[in-house]
Amino acid sequence: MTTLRFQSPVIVRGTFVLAPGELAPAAGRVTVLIGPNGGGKTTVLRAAAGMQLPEQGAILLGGVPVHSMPAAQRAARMALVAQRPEVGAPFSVRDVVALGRVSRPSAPERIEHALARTGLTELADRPFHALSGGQQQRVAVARALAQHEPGGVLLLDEAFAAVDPPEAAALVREIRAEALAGATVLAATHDLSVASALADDVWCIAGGRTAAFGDARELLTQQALPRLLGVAVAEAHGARGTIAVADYGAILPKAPR
Amino acid sequence: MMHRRPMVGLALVAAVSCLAVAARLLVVRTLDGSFLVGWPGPTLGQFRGDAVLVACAAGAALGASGAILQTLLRNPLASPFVLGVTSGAGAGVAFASLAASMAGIAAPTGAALGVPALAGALLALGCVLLLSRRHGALDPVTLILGGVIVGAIASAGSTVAESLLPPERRGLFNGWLFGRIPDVPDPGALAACAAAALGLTGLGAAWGNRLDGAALSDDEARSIGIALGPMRTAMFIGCGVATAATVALCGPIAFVGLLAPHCARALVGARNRMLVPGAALAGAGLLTAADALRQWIDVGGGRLPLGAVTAVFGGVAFLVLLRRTAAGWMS
Repeated sequence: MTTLRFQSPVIVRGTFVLAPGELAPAAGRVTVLIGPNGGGKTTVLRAAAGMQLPEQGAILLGGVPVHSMPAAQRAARMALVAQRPEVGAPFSVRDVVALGRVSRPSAPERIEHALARTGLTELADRPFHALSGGQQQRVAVARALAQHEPGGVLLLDEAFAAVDPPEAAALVREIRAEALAGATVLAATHDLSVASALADDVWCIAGGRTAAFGDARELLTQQALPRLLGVAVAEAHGARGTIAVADYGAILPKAPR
Repeated sequence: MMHRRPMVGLALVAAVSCLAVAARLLVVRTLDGSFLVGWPGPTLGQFRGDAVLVACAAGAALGASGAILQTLLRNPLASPFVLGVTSGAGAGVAFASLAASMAGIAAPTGAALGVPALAGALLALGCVLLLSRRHGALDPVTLILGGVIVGAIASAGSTVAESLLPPERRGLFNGWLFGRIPDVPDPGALAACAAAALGLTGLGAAWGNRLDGAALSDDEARSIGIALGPMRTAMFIGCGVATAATVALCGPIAFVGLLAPHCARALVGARNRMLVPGAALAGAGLLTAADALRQWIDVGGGRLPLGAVTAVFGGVAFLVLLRRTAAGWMS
């Protein structure tokens, strides 16, 4: 089991003081990052992936500072889906998913399995650039699933933002399955429905600081969310119990009767 | 169109390139305008054989460089010429000749031209990459514009250096500045160019999977396990060496490095393990075919310069690619 541990990292010339004290997303659970735009969700994920060097403190992957690990060694323990998938060559969908195995032992069955789990088998031979934005995001998730090893770390930055609801639900199922199999999942989202379905724990980041970290059942609630996100929240009864949805209607002027 | 059988595509590219070689060796236009087909005898045969060797070595080096640069820079319009690397290498040679003239020593020739050519190539590539960095990433449009501008400045520099040379020292530049297949190639320069072409093609094919990964965004490429910085540095230097070796042999040749990867991609697909060798073969075939065309077309004032043939055909193809790819995989 690979542990991911944030030891009071200070990133970007002191602007982002991410975690006072030690903070570690739990293995076998999905931790969802929420918070306002520009608050630091992407910074946390990039730093966790070793792309940004903390100026103080450390981010440890299995006890080793993540930014100092050789890229191939890090790739064996951690997969990342960036906010906007970019592919600068005319590859097929299968080619892109196969990139998840570039520095890993070749495993064609893993690639086909990842395509099937994300509903992309039919599209596997299509050019990546012929797909819609949501389909391209599914390809990026499939690539990460092909790379990811059981017990590793999965980092997702708004990975379902452009995916339509039925497909997003299928991706949520697959990501939760990875967590149940022992993965540490850290996923940023601004969609409260996705957060409710995905989260075991919630890490709220605002202004580059940790505003809250704890169990989703306590933080994704009508009481906590207005304070954390500044938005009115309604509750609905879903398959995982009570879920929170943003109630945009709350700020509309009341229609005269 | 996606490609399940890149080996078949590669064989097809090789076959077409062999046709170009056969055409250059066996078909000739006589002075009265008729075409003769057949082996020309030992002396002319040697002459044509040398021309084919030069065209294949230079074309392969440019084709492989173009394929690698297009992948690394995630830009379908990248190539040694478009990025100003070719002209930079030319300017390096021109200024080395000028410096030698001012110092009163013999101008570098043959394989020794490779040293100033490499310095000029890497300087031009470095300038273009620096110019096009925006917020830590390469801006695709600025990259091409920067390449065009750096290339134009380098070409102008070559012309200035040539005009400052005393007339008796301008022999080297006779036709060279526009790209030409030398009548009697320098064996050292030819061997260096062939070695650079083979080496870069081998490196590109061996690192094909990693090159594929570099097509992702920087963060994602690193996250799948690619040491992006060292790989980019090694590949940029490799492309600089191959381009410099070409310039030392033939002078600056336009657009072969741009077109060869696109021809190869249509037949072998986009995966670099096959694309880089395919682009090297296509480059060899394209440059040989351009040299054959040059021998066959008489516009009244004698045969066309090789650089003019590649520039006219390549320039038109560049415009077509620009329109086709602007909305495609250029991010």
